[in-house]
Amino acid sequence: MKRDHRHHQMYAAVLAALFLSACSKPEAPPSSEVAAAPEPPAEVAAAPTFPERPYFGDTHLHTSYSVDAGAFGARLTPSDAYVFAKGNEVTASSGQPAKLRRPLDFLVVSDHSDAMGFFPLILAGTPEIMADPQGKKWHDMIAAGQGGAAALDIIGNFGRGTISKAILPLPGTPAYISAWQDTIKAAEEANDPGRFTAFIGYEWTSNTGGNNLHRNVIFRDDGDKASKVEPYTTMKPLGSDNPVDLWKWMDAYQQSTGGRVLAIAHNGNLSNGLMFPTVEAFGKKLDVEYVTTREKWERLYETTQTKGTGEAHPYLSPNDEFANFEIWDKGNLDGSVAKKKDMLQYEYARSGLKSGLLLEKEFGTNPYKFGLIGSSDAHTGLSAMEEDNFFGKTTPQEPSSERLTKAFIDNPKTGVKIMDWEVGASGYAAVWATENTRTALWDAMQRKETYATTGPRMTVRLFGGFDFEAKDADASTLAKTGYAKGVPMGGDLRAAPAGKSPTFLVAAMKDAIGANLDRYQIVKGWIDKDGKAQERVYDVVWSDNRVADPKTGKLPAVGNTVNEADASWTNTIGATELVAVWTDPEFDASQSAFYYGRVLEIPTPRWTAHDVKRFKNTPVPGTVMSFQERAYTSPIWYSPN
Amino acid sequence: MLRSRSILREPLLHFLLIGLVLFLLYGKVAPSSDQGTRITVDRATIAALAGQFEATWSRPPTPAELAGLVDGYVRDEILFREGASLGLLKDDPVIQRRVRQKLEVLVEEEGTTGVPTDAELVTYLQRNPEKFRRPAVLSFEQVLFDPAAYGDQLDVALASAKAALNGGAAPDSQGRHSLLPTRVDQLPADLVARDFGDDFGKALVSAPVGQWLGPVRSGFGVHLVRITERQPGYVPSLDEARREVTREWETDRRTAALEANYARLRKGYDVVIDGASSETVAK
Repeated sequence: MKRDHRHHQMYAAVLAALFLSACSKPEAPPSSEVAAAPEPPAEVAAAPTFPERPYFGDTHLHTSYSVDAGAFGARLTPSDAYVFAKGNEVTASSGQPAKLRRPLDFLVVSDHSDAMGFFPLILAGTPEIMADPQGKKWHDMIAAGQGGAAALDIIGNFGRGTISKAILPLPGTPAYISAWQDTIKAAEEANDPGRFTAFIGYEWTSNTGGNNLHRNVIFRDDGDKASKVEPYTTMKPLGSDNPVDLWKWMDAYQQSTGGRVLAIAHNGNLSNGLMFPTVEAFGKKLDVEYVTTREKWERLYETTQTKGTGEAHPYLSPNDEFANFEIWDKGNLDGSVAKKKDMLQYEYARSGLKSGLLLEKEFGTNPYKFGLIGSSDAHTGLSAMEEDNFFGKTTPQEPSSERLTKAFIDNPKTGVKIMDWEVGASGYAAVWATENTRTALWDAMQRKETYATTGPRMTVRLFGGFDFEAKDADASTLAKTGYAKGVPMGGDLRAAPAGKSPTFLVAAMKDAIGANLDRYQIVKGWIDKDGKAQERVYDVVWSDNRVADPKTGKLPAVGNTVNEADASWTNTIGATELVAVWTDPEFDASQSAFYYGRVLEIPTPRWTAHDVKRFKNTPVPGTVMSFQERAYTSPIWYSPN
Repeated sequence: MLRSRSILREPLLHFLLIGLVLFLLYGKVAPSSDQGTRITVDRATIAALAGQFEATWSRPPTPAELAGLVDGYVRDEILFREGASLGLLKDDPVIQRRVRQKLEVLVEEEGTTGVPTDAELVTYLQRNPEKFRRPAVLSFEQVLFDPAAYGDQLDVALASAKAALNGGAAPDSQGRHSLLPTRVDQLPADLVARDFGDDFGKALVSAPVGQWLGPVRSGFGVHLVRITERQPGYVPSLDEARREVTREWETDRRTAALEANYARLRKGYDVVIDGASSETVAK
């Protein structure tokens, strides 16, 4: 009854909302012009004119409302997830206490839209026989303690479209509506403007053939608008597995409610060549409509998460000595198809950014003009990505002496096997916003003023312009100078003045409780004279007064203080802060290009080393025990016109 | 152009089209007078189907789409009836769970009818002060020093900088410029710890206000700090925390209502679990 009533109200609301949306415009990039700031309302602190600090959070977290998470054993709800992210202690699904070292600033609970709330149904009631053979099988597996196997079977069946319709909650059904309303309610209750932002969101999980084309959809809006729709699914007839249809849904939402949504794709590394297509998608040739629509809705790309880091691949970037980092390149999401080398160029952020430049030449719009973030994709309700306090990707991977040596994906047919140790304690999204609210954070995401971290909360600035000079590299005035003379990460540079090259004002500061920094690099991608996409990594500023090899130009490694057995390191090497101005030494004003920052920490122990210390167990041969954590900024694009 | 569009939007046209669809469908699905095999797709059902579509797409279905939805509904209805007559409803945990959810919602709603009185909320706040306690709020200035740059001269450098600062020197004139803010305005103590580390945060909680202090260590180096204002932590009044207190009170009421209802119902059942008595498993 309540629902019908809502729909009647909607018509009236729609008109009003459309009018409002016509009046509101996307937030302009922040400016340092103080004079333009309107008079702040009394008793409300004025938001700063430019972002003064990054906010750290997670745009991608599952709870028991996600069908696979539930099957894996997750029992925490969206409410629990927000309580945990705010820094409170909760009891994890595995029964142990869990608490973050530091609270997060924001969180999106992004449960799978397909069959949202399915798991509480499977688990429900006394262990009776389920009417549906599949449901019964999974229920029995879970009851027998094989939740993990059940989850992978559910994911596999989902990808093949073979989940029995009889047991899936579909949009419009009471179970589905109640799961979505619970999700909204949890976010509304947890949202605390100024201190903690709880976004409303969901994951649209296109996984046909086991190929990962997932997108997280994030609402700028409050529950009044978000509850007027139900999440878009991939099940026909109401849903679709083609991102083009998701974009239609997003457009329909905005048109009818006056709200705003954006989508963030992830795990191209498990898409088997489908994430960043250059010729066709879903059997249709790419065209102007595809590239403009994709650019419109897909503002960010989740570059690092528990299922691997997807910035670059050593095969695609053989000259990048740091490309081989937390790589998952054995197959697709369910391991049903092994990876082939020729798929890789369509899977990684850097190659996607390069393809985007080529497609822009062809169609006039760059479909892959995305900013970068990291997030967890944890299926535990716990966004706990600290190496020494890592609560795993799934409930069976919550801390225990066994998690170091078990297999996560093991497909004997294809030989694709991924071990639990390969799961990363990564990452978080850093957002440069003027205040910690839904609108300010969302607007910053929309303008791509974001960066990805693999877990540490280092501060990273990147400004591009044509007039930065060496004296601008003063940390205390950096932001003011940066916004006054250039554009921040995610921005655009156009039509270089004659004789000028792009200059970049860069800065990074270590995590307050983390490791020192090794170096700040700029990754440049461009189209050369022959119309080919190229890339190069430049060391811009580094610690410890190292000198590059005069022959190779290569900077010596920063060193290594890691004691793996003790899972410890010292900040006796590296820098607490790196600041510099850098000018592109090989700039051609007629070539389009992108530039993004990559900041490396000194080597530190990985979660695997912390586990060995804690549980006194023996890792399997080949387990990576230490690494260099890092941050990736959104690019700044240069366009000749 | 405008004219033809506005005709397409005309509710009367929709109504007529829907009527036509219904008429055609009725002929298909309602040939029999037998109650058990009669399916009536009434206007309320049609409206509900259209509502489902609209919940996803934020627009009403076209007549063709609506016909498809109605066809799907009829199909569901027939297969559901056939399945139910085969006994497939029995022991279905999905159905069981939904019925349970419905009952729980009813119980929760009953448990939360009526708005709490101020007296109830005040009592709740007094009984659970830590749930609502506000942290201390700090404003301070800080100057950062890189210990490596001074070696064994660090103490000397800090002492002379502190003297200069207490003598009125500008904070920007001392120490090392960094991305850290020189002035921090009204940051809750727990967020000070988030930004500067626990040790730094703890040091500021009890330090005297107004003069330059230090050295205070953090992950960035060594700081001299002057607290300019410290508002102590406190338990808020009901007026200040009404929203949270009401929410927590309601959550507790809901949980209590569910538990009380279950406990009452549970008494009426004799549960036998292989080998265990009702009493041992009732816990």
